[in-house]
Amino acid sequence: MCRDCGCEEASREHELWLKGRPLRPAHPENIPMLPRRILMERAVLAKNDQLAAENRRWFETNKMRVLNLISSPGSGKTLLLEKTVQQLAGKMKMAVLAGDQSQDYDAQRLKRAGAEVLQLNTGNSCHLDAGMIQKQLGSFVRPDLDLLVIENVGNLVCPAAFDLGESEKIALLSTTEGEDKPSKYPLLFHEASLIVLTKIDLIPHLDWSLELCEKHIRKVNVRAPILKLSARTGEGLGAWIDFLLTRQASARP
Amino acid sequence: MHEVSLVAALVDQIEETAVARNFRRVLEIRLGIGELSGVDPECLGFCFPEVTRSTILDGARLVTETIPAECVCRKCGKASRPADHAALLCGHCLSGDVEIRRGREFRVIDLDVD
Repeated sequence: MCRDCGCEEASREHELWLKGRPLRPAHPENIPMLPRRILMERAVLAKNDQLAAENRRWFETNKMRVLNLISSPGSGKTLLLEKTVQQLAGKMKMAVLAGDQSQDYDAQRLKRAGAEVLQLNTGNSCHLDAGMIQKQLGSFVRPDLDLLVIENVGNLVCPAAFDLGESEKIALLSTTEGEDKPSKYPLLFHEASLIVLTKIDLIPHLDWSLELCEKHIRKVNVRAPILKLSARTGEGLGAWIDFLLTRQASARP
Repeated sequence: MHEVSLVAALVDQIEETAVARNFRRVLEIRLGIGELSGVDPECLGFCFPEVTRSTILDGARLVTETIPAECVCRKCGKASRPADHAALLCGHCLSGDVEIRRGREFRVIDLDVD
């Protein structure tokens, strides 16, 4: 009988372990463990980052451009996408993954606009993660798409921390949110490769200064182009569509 | 804001480690939190006991260490702690053209287990 764990078995592995050779004990569940320290040095989001890297490889293999749209709730992501889908119809193969905590209102709106769209509900979670995207690769996200737009959950904080494997992060900021959001949420605006100012048709009705807003943006991001548009009136929409089409052409020679 | 889902990811990771490294209980866990990680240590500490209940981390003491931010300036080429977090300016020449080198981390440093 094993004197350490009380089991009946006296295996070779057990014997070696008793002689002080630290092989894996045969019945670890019976053996009281001594307190010890385990060095980890591992990112908590390591798993997400690994899945994101896999997604990125898949997108690159299939020459698909993937945009991760991030903004506050109500900044106008869905309306912009409705207009985008209509303008890009027949010009490129595009699909949308729409993230929200619950409901499929966005997907319904985008479907009515003619989009290939799938709603992803995150439940209690405040962001999409790479695993949720990976589940759709090869099924809803067909390999022959030119452009995948991921409409993230409306939130300026958490989505910035979760890499999805996208080609570009795009931050949207509506004029009604005030000018200083980029300074208050620097990480997202720092990482965005394009910043879109939405609802510019409302400027005459607001105490909102474009100059001040651009100043706040430039404090955290000196490089990203800034597009100003109104999806409602169509003003500035042409530059956005050009951004999607031009970069597309260079990405797929 | 997303501290609950971060702790949930942490629980998954530690439960995997527990199988691989053969332990049943975590007495203490040390986390490194970057100044620019978007993780709020206070908020993390608040939800930690709730989210870890009935998991391998139940009852574990949570210790957090701040990882200071560091950026490298594309203009003057020097590394520094940003002059201002909101602005992310080079600590030497105050240029905004910087690359974040450190401070985005959110990692497990080590665990005391038995």
